Amino acid sequence: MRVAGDPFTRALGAAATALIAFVMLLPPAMTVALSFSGERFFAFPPRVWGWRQYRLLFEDPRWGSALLLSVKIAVPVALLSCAVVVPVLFVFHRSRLPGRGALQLGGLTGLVLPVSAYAVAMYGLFAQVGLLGTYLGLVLADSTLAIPVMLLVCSPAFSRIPEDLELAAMVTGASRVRAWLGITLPLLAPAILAGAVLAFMTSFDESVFVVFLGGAGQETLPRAIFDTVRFGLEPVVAAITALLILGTSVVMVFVLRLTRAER
Amino acid sequence: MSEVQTEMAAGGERRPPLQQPAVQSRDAPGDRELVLEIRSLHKSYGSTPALGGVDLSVHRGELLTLLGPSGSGKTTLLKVIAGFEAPSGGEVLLRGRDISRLPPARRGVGMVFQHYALFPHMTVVQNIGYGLKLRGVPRAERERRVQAMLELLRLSGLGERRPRQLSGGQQQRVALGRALVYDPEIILMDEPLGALDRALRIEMEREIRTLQHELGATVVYVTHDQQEAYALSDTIAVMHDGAIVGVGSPAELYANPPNAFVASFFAGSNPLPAEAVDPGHGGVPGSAEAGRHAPSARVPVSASSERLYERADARFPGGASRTTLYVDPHTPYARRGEGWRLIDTDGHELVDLHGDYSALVHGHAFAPVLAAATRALAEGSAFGLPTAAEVELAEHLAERVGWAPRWRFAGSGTEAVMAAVRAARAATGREVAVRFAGCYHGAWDALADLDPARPARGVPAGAKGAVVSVALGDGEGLVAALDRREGQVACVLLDLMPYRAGLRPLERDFAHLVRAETARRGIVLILDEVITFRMGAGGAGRVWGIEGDLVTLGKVIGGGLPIGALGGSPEVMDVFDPRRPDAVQVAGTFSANPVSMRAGLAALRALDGEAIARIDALGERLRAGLAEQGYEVTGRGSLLKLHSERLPELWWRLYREGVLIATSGLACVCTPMDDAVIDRVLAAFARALRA
Repeated sequence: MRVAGDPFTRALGAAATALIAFVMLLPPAMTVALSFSGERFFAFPPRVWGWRQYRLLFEDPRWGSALLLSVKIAVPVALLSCAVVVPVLFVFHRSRLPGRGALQLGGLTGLVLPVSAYAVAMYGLFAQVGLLGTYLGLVLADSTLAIPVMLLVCSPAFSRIPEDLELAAMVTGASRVRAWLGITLPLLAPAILAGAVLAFMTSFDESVFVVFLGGAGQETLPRAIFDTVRFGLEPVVAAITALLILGTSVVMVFVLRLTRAER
Repeated sequence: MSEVQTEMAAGGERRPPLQQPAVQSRDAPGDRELVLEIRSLHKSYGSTPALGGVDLSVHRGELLTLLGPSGSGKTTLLKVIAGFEAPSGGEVLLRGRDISRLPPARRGVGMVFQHYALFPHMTVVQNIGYGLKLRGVPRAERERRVQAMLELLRLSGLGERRPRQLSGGQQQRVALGRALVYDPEIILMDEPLGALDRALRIEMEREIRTLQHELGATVVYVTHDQQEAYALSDTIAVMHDGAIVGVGSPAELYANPPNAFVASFFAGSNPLPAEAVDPGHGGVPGSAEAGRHAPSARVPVSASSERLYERADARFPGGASRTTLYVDPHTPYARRGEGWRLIDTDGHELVDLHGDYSALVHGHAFAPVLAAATRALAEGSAFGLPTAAEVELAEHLAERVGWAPRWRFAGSGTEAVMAAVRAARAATGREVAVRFAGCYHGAWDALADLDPARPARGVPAGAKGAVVSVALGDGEGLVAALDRREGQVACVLLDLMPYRAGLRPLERDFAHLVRAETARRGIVLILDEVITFRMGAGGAGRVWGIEGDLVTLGKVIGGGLPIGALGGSPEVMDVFDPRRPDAVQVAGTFSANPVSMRAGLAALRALDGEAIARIDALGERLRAGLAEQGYEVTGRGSLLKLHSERLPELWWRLYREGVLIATSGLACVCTPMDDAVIDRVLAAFARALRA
């Protein structure tokens, strides 16, 4: 139990809050500030302010095509995740399938294993089946990360839907499938949407697989940023990052609202 | 017609629509159509048996409760009926059709779940209409039936709300509506009131009962709560270890438990929450164990009950409202009772042999009485109109006292005696009432003197002018007194075992002499059975073979609530008929109030010949045991009286040892007691003797 008004606890809480604010919020804040630098080189704080970086960003077609590719990968990943996760949820929560606990754990390996190790393993596999450097290969690879993320988001939501609702529907006259489609699925919808958004973000943000498995022409947004930083630090990166931060924040607010509305 | 509807039609559409509820008589189940039949049903999970050969029948319009502790298999049985679990063996027949292999949707049953299981994303209308929609009922028809259901459930105006915008009781009603609207053959209810608080539960119990009657619905109801089962059921099936161990009406099961489990399950019924003993009073928890060790440790009284006494002493002469309860220096205060247990404000547990002067023949908080009385209270405690309850109790009493077809109810035994004497005087046109010295007939002025030599203070001589006292058991004296007043005597008051006069059964010859002499002279014989009525199913009169012209009753016939009753032949009783210009007046605002009537009826139904024989046998055992210990004890059957020169001291000794008797020495056995309790009482008396 929490002890209210204990001065030590309060001090500890204040310190933790300050630390989190500093560690978590300072880098993004600096990035946003940098994106308004009017200079050609990285320098903090900038001596000249302006829209220069954003102008450069939109003038260079490289960024636009990278963004497009990222979206073109992330959308199918999100859809594929839904197609896999929704049926799996019913199996996990409503069947008496033996060993479904182990299966559930297995589904999360993508999150548990180090991404680089996972990528190396996948490299070997993809080389065998000719998926290296292909669009399909990247979609499948990202899905192995996105599916567990979505499972993690949706599974607790499914647990909160009482099975009695389905039984009530069934005794009232619905078949099991009709009860699932008519009762459980609508109740799960906000969680599915939130999960799909997070699956999208997982793929959109993915930078390790694309380096290992992607071909020469496959430059996603994270890879473009990565390469830019690697071959010469340009302040334009700050602009793209600032836009990503903004976009992600909007999406997260949306997801939080969904998961709250479902209660 | 869609496929779905064709599928559903078998189970769903046969019953008349809601607007014309089936007229349902509450006949014996045997006269009615069999709806659900379960034959040697087995269910096991792996090697663990959950149901072992269950047989059960439910008839149209019957509410059958599956009652049992958790793990007894009642919910499993319900799940098998609903189709959520497949049986391992046996059959479930719904109107003769084996449904045990059908999916739930095609069984034609409705179900109310423990936490309602309302669809949160649908409105009330959509929830209730769900079953109709699945059955392909056209939109217009669907709306009409849902609206009718909303009205029936008093939910009109809430149709567009979501479940979470409703109160618990409203959600409960929506769940009922969803199950009722498509007219299923049978409704299954799985602890539907478990999530509601106590007050709401009682209200919902009543509502479920009313709805079920109105619709003639057949219901299988699962609960672990005896009171709920009592309040609701036509039939209770008690479950234990996956089997049904007793089936019958609530009263039958209570009065004649078929086996030890049913008996102990009902006897163990504790209508009061265990935490009712306030720990702030330094109380001992109300367990038998604690009670056994408590007495010597504390008592007479703790500081907290002393404070209560100080407050009481400022308000009541003698520290309590009732004079007859007084014991020197002052009485302890009761806190609560359950069965034969009484717990005082100090947490001291007693075996209650007092039973409020023998009124509580079933002990405290007797479940059927509690259920009947709380239901009656919830429906209104008193009206400016008569109720069916008084008719039923009068019919019941007339059945017991065959010679007394006409009745009047009163607020107490005293009032009943007053009315009886007045009726006798009016019927005979004479004035003198004869009573026997030392016998108590209530607090009325005219009959107040127990001993003619010591007139009661505050009673004017004129008040008893027309009352004559005759020595008890003196046949010649009685005849002489009646001869002397030939043509003047209206009535003779007779108590066959007068408690104040020593609780000795009257000589049979003397009783019959009184009967013969009064009959010969056209005198009304009033049998005062306020205390003795518990001696036989037809009262003490039947035991002695005596019929009176009037009988006065009280105490046990109210189930622990205030009551009095006066019964007799039409010749005498019809003097009360208000259609007569010279009608005799008796009034009483709370006479025949439905709470006392219902409580009394519940108590009397459980006090049949067998129950009386049981408490009589326990009473005889107690009397014999006490006599063996050297106590002077009189009485008969379940009624006893202790005689002692030093009664107040004995009273305190017994109190300390955990037994409560009346300060006058009266003691009685109640139906929740058994041999173990009698052993405990005898041991306490033995210790009191040594102390």
